[in-house]
Amino acid sequence: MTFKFDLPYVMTDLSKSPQLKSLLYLSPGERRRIGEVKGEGSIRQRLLDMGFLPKQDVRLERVALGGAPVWVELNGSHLALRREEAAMILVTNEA
Amino acid sequence: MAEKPNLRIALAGNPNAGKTSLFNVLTGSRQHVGNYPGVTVEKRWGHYKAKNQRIDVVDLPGTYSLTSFSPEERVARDELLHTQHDVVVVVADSTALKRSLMLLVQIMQLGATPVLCLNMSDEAMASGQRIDRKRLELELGFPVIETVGHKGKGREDLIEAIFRATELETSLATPSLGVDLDKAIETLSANIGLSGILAQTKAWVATRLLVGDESIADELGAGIRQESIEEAKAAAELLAKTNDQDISLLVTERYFTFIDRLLEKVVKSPRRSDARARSEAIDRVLANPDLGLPVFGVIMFSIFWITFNLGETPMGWIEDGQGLLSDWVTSLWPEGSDSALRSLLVDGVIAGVGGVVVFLPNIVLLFLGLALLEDSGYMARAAYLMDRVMHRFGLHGKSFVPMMTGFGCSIPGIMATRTLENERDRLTTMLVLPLMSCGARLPIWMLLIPAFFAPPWRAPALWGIYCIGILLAFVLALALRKTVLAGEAAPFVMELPPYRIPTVRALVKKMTERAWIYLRKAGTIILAVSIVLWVMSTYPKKDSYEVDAQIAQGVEFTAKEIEQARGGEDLRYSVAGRLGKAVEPLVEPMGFDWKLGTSMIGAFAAKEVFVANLGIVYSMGETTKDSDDLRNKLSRDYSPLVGFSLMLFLLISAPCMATFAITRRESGSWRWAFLQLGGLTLVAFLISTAVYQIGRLLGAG
Repeated sequence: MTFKFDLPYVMTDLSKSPQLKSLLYLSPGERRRIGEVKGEGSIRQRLLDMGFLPKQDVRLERVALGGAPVWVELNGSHLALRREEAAMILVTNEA
Repeated sequence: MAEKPNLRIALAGNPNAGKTSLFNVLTGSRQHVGNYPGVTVEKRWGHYKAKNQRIDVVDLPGTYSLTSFSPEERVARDELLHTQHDVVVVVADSTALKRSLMLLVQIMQLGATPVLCLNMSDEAMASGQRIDRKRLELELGFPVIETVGHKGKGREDLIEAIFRATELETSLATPSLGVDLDKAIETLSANIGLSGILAQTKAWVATRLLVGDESIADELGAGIRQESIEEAKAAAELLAKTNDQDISLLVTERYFTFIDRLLEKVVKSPRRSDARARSEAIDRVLANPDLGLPVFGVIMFSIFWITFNLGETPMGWIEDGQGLLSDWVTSLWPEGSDSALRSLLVDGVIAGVGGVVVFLPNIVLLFLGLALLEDSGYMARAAYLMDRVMHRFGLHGKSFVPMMTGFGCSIPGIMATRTLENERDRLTTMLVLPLMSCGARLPIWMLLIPAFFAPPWRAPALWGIYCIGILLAFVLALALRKTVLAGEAAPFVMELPPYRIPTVRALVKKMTERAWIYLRKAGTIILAVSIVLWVMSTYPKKDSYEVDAQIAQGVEFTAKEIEQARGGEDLRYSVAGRLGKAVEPLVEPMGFDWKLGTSMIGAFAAKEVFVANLGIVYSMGETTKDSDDLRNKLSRDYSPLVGFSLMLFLLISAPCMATFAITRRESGSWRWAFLQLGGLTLVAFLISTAVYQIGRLLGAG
């Protein structure tokens, strides 16, 4: 099942580099390398502390009804993120 | 041998890493442990004895880091900063080592003497992970042990390791974060000004200043040389420039680099990639985008069904026992005697306390259900599934866990709101939490539902009353977020632990713990209130009865009718009766009479008191007493509409005294506590009145 996200700025504002896209655009089961963690302050620091760092692999497991939260796997742990946080994590095309 | 001075140790670790289980293993303390993040919401103390020495243990709330953005992180950080611990036991989740060690590195920087405890080592082993523990110990320079907290394995090792750590002679090296960063930290800490026990925290404080954490400067205030803050800023800029990275990312990456290097040396074989295959298979159904919510509804319904139906048989036994006791006490006095003591024992204590004790089986079953959800890991899925809905209503997926806890009791629920990072989210959750029908209200439903609902509708009615509470909580939360608590939503990052089969040991412990708390409450508050209410409903005594006057006029009554009429007159004449009469105009719009009003007065002390009070009020006027009989009287005296209105009022109105007090404490102000008390009572009055009046217009009741 696919969901449409009403967050157009994810594609335009958050990323300088055209190769990077938000974690939100992955399909369930897709694994990608993190390129950049956007945002600032405590939310970003929390993501960093939990291991969302560039060059780490992250896999989108599933998306809840209504498009959020998203369920991801990172370093063998499973974590749930809301769209707002997931949008801050930009992934590359590499797996 | 002389007693040695007490050892002081702290337990730190990620949420859900099993700290609390280990705390229990060490101290034998009875404490709440669950398989979802955020069970320990404040520090807890315990102690144990080993080698002729008393060891004081403080269990810190679970944190991923010490960057302190949530109240619980701040609690952990401040305890580690300001208190000298002989040993800090860092509890790591062996199945998520990398993330767990992030906290360890910071605690090493704090200059603490750590013991690393690789918890859940059985699960890690089963997933194929092999760690060279000896090598890890060598690399770190302090004891490393393996434990399985929830099965109680590793206690001896842990105790031994704590002693070994206290005997470490050389001071430990702070972890290296790379040449440039190490140098910056060293330069800063050389002149940072921290003295006393704070001196050893220099490296960590310097790192916090580098990443621009202003809260640490505020926290330590004059302890830090003010110029250091400026120096840190300059150093951070330089570091960021030379590394072409922002400073927060740089520092976090360096922490993880240290961890990666360490793990490279000690991990002999990694976890298999299919380590969570079993959990994954379960989640394909339970966390399924389409099936998840309906399945969740079915699970909750089953819990209420079981609570209701399996509880019935043991309830019968307790009622029989109570009847026998009551008869036996009555038989101690000669037939027809009018002893005040007998009346106190039979009508006050046995009817009051007994009326509450009867529901013990239901309480135990409800808590068994909640414990199964917690310990299995399902609660985290529920929060995941519910976040979307919760978010719509201005709540947070994480609000869901405290709210579910609130089904047991509002007090731990309100305390568990500390897991919410955002103050507005936290206050909103706290204020609406009493709408989660707590265990103390279960006896009320158990009494009222069978009185007003036919057997096939009883379980759905119970489920329904819980649902009404939840829906109303959502609506009121939204109202709060639109008015007094308006503001932006907080982020949602939550861990989803693998499913675990709950141990019988943990389940039994939770149930007995709850049963004991329930009985103790029955033996204290409820006993006291029962006696007070008995006194209030017995005195002052009437000298002459209207029924006697009627008899004198020649009206004929049976002996039973005379007794009942006298009892009723006594009750109306008593303090309780007069109080009830006084509040009657207030409760009348909701369809209640003075008897219900009287019974409600004590319910602020504890919700179960309503059942006890009703038992007393009815037992004063009449003779037989068991809860079935009380139900018959209720269904005789009141229409189902009044019953429903009554249930709504008791669900929504004023939370109990203890909830009021805990809201005051947790919100830090009387304002919120009074808003909760007054607001909920007003809403209850409005809803019950509307239901009763509209229902009456429609011809029901």
